[in-house]
Amino acid sequence: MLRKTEWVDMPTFQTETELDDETVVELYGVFLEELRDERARLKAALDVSDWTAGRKLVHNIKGISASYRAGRVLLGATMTDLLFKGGNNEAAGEKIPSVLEDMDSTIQSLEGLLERGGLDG
Amino acid sequence: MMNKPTVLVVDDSVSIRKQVRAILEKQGYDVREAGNRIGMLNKLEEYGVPVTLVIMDLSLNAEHGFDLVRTLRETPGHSELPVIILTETADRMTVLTAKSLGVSGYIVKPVTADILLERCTTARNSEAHAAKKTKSSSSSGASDGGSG
Repeated sequence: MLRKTEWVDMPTFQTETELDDETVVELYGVFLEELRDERARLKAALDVSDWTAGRKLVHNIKGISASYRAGRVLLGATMTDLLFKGGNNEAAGEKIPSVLEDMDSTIQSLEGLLERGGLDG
Repeated sequence: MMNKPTVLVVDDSVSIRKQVRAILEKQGYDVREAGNRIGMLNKLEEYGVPVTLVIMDLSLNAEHGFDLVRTLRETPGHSELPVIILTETADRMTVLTAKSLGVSGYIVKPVTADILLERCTTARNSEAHAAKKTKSSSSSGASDGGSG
C-alpha cells in the first residue's frame, strides 16, 4: 500500500489520478527530480535576490507541489507566491529559506519512500 | 482500426506533463508533450499525425499562456483545434479571456483523472458536433441554398 508521510501524500494522489502503484512511484520519481532542480534554481535566485526568477520558480513549485500532494511545500510556496503577487518582493524573499527547508525535507522523505517503492514498511 | 485520439500536452513542468500523460494513456489516448511554444509548434507538425486536442498550462502569467492559444489560432491547419487550459485560478478575467479565444474548457490544478477525462470528452464531442454542423450546412447550402 502506498504511503502517506508528513511531507507527501501518495495515496491521495493515487486515488485522484486513478493510476496503479508502479505508475505512481514512477511519477513521484519524476517529481523528485524536478523538485531537486527547482530547489537548486530557487536557491540560486535567492542568492542574487533575483525576484523575477524567484517569483516564477515559486509559482512553479506551488503548481507541482499541489499536483503531487506535497502539502508543506505547497503551503510555504503559496504564502510566498501571494507576497510576490502583492509586490512585496523583500518579504517574499525572506520566506524563501523556509520553502527551501521544506523542499529539502520533502526530497529526503521522498528519497526514502522511493527506495522502498513508495510502500509501507 | 480506429485511430487513437492524439493529445498534445504543453506545460513547462515535466512532472505535470507526465502526470497528464499517464492518466490519458490509460484511457487510450496517444499523448505528445511540449515544454514551450516552439516545442508545441514542432509537435503539431511532427510525423504528420493530426493532434486532435491541446492541453496547455497558463503558467505564471496568464497572458503568456493565452499567447500560446493565440499562436495556435493563427497557425494554419490548427486554428480550430480544441484547447483545454490548466490553471491555478479560474478568476473572472481568466474565464472571459479563455472564452473569447474559443477555449473548450479549463481545469483548475491539481489535475484529477475524472475532471481531466470529462473535459477531454466534452472538448472532443464539441469539436465533432461543430464539424458535423459545418459539413451539414455546407452540404445543405450546396443542395438547397441553405437552411433555416
